[in-house]
Amino acid sequence: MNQANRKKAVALLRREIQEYKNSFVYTPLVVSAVLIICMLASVLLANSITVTGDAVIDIFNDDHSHKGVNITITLDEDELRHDYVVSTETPHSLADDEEWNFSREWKFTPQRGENVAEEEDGIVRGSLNPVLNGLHCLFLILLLVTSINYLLGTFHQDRRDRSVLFWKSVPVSETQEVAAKIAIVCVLAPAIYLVISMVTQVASVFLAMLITWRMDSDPVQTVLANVDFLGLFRGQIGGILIWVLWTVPFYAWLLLCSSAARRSPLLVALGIPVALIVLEKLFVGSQYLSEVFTNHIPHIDGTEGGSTLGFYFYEPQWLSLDYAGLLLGLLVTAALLVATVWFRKHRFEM
Amino acid sequence: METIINATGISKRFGDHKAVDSVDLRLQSGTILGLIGPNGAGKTTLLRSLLGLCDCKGELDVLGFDPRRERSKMLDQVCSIADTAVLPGWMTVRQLLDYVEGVHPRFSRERAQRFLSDTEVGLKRRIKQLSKGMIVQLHLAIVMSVDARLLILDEPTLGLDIMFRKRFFEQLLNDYYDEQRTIIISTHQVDEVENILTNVMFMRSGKTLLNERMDAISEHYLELHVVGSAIEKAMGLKPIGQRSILGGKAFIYQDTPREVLQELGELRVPTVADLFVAKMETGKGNESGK
Repeated sequence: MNQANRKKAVALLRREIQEYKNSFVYTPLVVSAVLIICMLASVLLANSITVTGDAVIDIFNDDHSHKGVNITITLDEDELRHDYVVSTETPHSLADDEEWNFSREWKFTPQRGENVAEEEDGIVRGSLNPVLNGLHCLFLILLLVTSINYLLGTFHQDRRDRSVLFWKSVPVSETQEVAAKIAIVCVLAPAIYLVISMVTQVASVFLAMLITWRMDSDPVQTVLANVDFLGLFRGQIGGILIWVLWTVPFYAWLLLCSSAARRSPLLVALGIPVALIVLEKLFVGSQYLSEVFTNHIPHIDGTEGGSTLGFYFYEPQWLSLDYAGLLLGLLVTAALLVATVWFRKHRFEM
Repeated sequence: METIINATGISKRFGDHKAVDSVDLRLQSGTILGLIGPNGAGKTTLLRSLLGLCDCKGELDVLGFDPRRERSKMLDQVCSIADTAVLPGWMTVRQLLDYVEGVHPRFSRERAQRFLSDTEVGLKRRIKQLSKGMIVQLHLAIVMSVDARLLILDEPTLGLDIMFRKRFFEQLLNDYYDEQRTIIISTHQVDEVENILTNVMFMRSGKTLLNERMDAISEHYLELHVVGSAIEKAMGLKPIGQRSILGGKAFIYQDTPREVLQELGELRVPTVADLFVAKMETGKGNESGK
């Protein structure tokens, strides 16, 4: 790419971000700021804990619940020393009568969190990652919503207000326009959301550390040591990459609807697939199309072990990916984008 | 002189309607062509064909490019204003300049800012906050800051008051035009552009009614002002148009010898506006005759 083309590409992408800065910049920033402010408020308001803070503490408590208040009982009669640990949780079974012998020597040892970690070596690296992935999910759902809104509106809006005539008066081809728009939803917007999500997650961890510190726990042992940042971010980057590759046919379809629809791109985007599915069901009796469409649209994944908040919100299982389906999707994407360019050339007025 | 546009047999249909019907157009550098016609005459379709914005039939060469296949390359050297209100309203003026500077290799930002410094168009203002006149000033500043060889203006002053219109054409002529550039202006305000045109083309129902150099109009067309009994004799010489004037009539003739006419009354060169009306009436007569 020579300098003029690079300059043109930058100008095209900058224009898209400027037009949709509310969707692609301000929305994730505001959500991030709200989350951080809520957590910060929790820190400042002592033990008022945010959703994230709650989850952090819940996980911490889950891991160490049996270590809460230990009561050690030494039996006088026994030659060997026996320690009985009695949990503060509801006991699963009643103690034997022997255990109610109060002539024994009792030792009461209330333990602090940091001692637990040291004594029990209870650090589970990555145990807080699901909580942070939950935060990341929120950003991914926002990214999906803003991307759909952008793709349905971008070509349709400039046709409606006739600014398409200005865009067509400068030396930019329809192919370059379409490439810029697909690059926005496949590269730039995911990158912006990913970076803001990561910053929010790091800030959450830091604030969770502050919360645990205020609760007289060791923030490093109880929070930081339980986060596997490398695995977390590797998973999220891989997840968003495969998510985009898998979703791009859906994106290309929305862009085509935006460039072709005379009235409502949303109605066209929904109406044609639904009509095809119904026709297939009526005349062929199969559900192939509905499966294909569903597979390429982010949705609730009910499979066992799935993230349940849409596919590939987390790190994908690279080896078990449906690469044939992925490749077919990319071929369909190419065809849809060619059609989009054609409509942009020939149907730019309403 | 270099040929900028060479178009032969340009035709465009919309269903059964012939929007442009076998139009030929050949323009040299340094030409300012006024494209004049009533609504629905096919002016916009012809201009869009030249810009590669619609598929058309016929042979078309603009600056060595076929606009239908090489539009974006051609637009390096061609600028256009399609309408007064097509600039994107969400942009600020500065963002618009940034964008054009990024995508147009022949755009001079300094020049655009110099043009804008004489107006009330501030760089921080959003385009949707500007008045219609200011939007046209901004658009004109942008196209005049591109070192283009062909400028196509489709009704650029539609809906503007007379002050803006006058300033627009003055600026175009004084700050932009030179013998290397070619300008096509489509407009209804014939009398306002008449003095800056080198060529004029009338269209009606997709067809060319007249395509002349301005200096050739006086060779082919004469206007005769007649009073009294000479009116009947003047009518017998088959004028292409006539209108009432104070105390008599004015007739427009095509290719009628000056010697025959001058004994009947006062001769002058018809204005483009009067010639346009005469040609439209003739065209209407021919069409109804068919």
